[in-house]
Amino acid sequence: MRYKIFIIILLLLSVFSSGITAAAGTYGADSITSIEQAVNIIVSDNSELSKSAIGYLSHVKADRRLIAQMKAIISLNDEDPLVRKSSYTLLSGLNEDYVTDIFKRRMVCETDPQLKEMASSGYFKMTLLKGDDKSQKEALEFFSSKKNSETLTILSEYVSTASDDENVIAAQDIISKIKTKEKFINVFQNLFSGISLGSILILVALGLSIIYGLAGVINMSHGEFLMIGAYTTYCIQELFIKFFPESWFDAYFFLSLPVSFLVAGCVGLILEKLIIRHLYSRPLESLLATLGVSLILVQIARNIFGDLTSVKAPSLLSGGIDLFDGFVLPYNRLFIICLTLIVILAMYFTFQRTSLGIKIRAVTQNRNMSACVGISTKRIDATTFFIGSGIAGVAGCALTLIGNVVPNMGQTYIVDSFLVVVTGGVGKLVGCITSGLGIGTLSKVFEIFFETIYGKVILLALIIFFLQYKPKGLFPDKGRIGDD
Amino acid sequence: MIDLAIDKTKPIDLSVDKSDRKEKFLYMAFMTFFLLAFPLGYKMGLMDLSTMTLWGRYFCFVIAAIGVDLIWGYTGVMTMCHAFFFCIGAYALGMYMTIENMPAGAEVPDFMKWNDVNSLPLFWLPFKSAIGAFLGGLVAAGVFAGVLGYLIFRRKIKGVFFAIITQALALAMYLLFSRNETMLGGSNGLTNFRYLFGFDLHSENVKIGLYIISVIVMALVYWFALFLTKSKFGKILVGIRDSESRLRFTGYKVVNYQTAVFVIGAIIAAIGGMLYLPQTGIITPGRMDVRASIEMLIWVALGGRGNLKGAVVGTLIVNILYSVSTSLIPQAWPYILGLLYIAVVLYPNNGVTGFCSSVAEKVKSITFKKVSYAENK
Repeated sequence: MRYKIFIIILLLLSVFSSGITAAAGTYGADSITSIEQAVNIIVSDNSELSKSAIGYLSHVKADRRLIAQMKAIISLNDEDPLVRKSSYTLLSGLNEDYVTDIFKRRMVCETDPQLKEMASSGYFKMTLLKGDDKSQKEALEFFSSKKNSETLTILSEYVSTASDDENVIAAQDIISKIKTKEKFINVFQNLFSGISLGSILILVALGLSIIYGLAGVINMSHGEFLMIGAYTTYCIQELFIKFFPESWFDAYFFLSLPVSFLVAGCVGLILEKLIIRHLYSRPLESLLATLGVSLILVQIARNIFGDLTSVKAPSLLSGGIDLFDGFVLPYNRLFIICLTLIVILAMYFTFQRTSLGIKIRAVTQNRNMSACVGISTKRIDATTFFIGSGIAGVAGCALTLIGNVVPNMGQTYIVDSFLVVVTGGVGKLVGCITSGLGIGTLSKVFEIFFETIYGKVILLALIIFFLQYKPKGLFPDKGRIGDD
Repeated sequence: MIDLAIDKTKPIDLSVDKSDRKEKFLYMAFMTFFLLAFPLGYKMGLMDLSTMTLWGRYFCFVIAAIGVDLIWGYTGVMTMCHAFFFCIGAYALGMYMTIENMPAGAEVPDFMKWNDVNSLPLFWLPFKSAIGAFLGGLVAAGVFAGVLGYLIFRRKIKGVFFAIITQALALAMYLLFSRNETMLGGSNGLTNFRYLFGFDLHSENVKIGLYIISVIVMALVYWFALFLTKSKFGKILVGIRDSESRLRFTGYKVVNYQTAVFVIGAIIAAIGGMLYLPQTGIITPGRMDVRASIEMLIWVALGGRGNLKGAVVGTLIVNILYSVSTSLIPQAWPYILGLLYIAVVLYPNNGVTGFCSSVAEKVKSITFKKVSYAENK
């Protein structure tokens, strides 16, 4: 027993002495002698001494978190705004008294406006939680002008801990205003997502609708053309990385748009010449045959590219427009919407104003008569298939902005785009657009209230119900068309 | 007066046709082979037990394919959710077997316990008894098909639109059954069965028994379908396929016939599903997804639409091909299947049976020509 006590005393002595020697061997000429002194030096923003203070702290192996905090305080003087931003984020989570003074100082001398706001909100958060009544009122005034989810957290914390009635009521008032604002923003956010999804569906369904309207052929491998467009984009990206300088990298995306159109169109042309040619006006058979084609295409892609590749979005299109707090319109989705608009306009122009368009419309309406009048139906079929598949390729290229490029990415959109074709009526641009937007928005709306899958089921039930009253879709073919 | 060749005093005898005798012989041969040769072969050690179970499963698929042939081959309605009806039958029996195989004293199966559900949901209750399970499965399939069919057919939605809607439905059901909230095992499905009606599913005799039952039920379903197609009902179905509007003009309510055949096909598929489950031991939502339904169409298309033999032949061929290629060159299966789809569609000789009958015709015409030459001389 006595030996044990002896050994314990020996250990304590050694620790103590090492501590003393460590303290004795202080860093630098200035005599910093305690952790507290070091902290005070740093907090008072004394730039020359701060360095030695940090050195002292690491020398005495002070608490790692403390050192990180001190480093953050020092780096508030750094030139890079990103460094400062991370310091603010770290410091605003602290509860120490000196943080208030630091923030107060930075509020005044911060140059970057966004970071200035961060400093101010940090300062007012501290005064709200710790200051006296007057400073709390000041803080509340600041927060009522800055309504966002951050403020919501701060104010909720305040309300749950504070006791002052008047200020608490004011805080709760601000909280409820923030909540209504958030609901409002949510509606718009969902509307935007709906439109974005709808635009993708339109892009995918457009080619399908045109081909079915003209040729009476259902192309189940349409999703695979999507995939072909996406993989083309991937290949072009790889080419650019290998052969072109860095600064040209962003251009790859805009180059890949027309190239995807051409590649997918050409594959479609080959498919048409080999298989589809024999299947005109036999939609059910074409369904099966093109399904076989899609199986083959997916397997080819899997064998060439493997199961997971990704495409980097060009930096031009990353980020988004920050409309107001919490409501961001991402640039990539805006781009897709614009692309859809351009494609729709191009299609409209082609169909209504060019001779090719008139021929396509003629063959769609009455194949035999058009042949009698001298239109080469074979050539029109091939051209239309080329265009339809090309549009799918462009859609695939656009999809790389918002998703991964995998061999079966076409399958996700194919069933939905078929529903778009079915509800919109076949072969009409207007029908496609309306039903695409409708289905896109409705699926997003259902997602809010139910889970995604139940939303899908309900959407399907709605479509079946809708088809009770409009069996040929929203904009059906008019006139007498023989069924048999 | 033109003498009409039909003698109205004698009933028209259709059964003493030469081709009919040939058919009867074919059936006998088929049944003998599968009912006797296979089990004998197993007993003699020529065949593996697992091969027999495999063939038992094939015959369950054949049952479902007969349903598809009735709906698509005879009525011209392309259905892409048939695998779903197949799975309804399988799930129905699966629920009964899950309850039977729960450890003694347990109230709910494992997967429900993991989801914090501690008493059987309402819709599981009818499946506690065997009769309930059988009837439940058939009724569920029938009612679902009936309601869906009626709602769609009454709007004269057919062809492509019908195919697309059933496809979307198959997808939706697949997603729904994969959820845990549906209380059907989620994406893991129902499994871990050992006993069915007290019979041990792992024992050799039970497996042979199940195989034999599958063959017999397949034969029964086949004869029922044959009876249907040879009756007036069957003729109307063919009329719907060939020219729906004309049939409508002659006064038949096409909606009723289409819905009826849809329901019958669904119930037949459910029967197939029920026989399938004890031989596989597991049922997952993967069996009901869109690809599975479309494969059923390919079985029928390959074998030849519009005659029941085609359903049998096509199913067996494709499934054997699948087993062979996945054991030898698994990578190639999508290519093979894809090429199969394309070939079946592009060569309009109505599949294997069509090919066989056209060959038979050619042979006959050659021999016939020889005879007529001799006569002319």
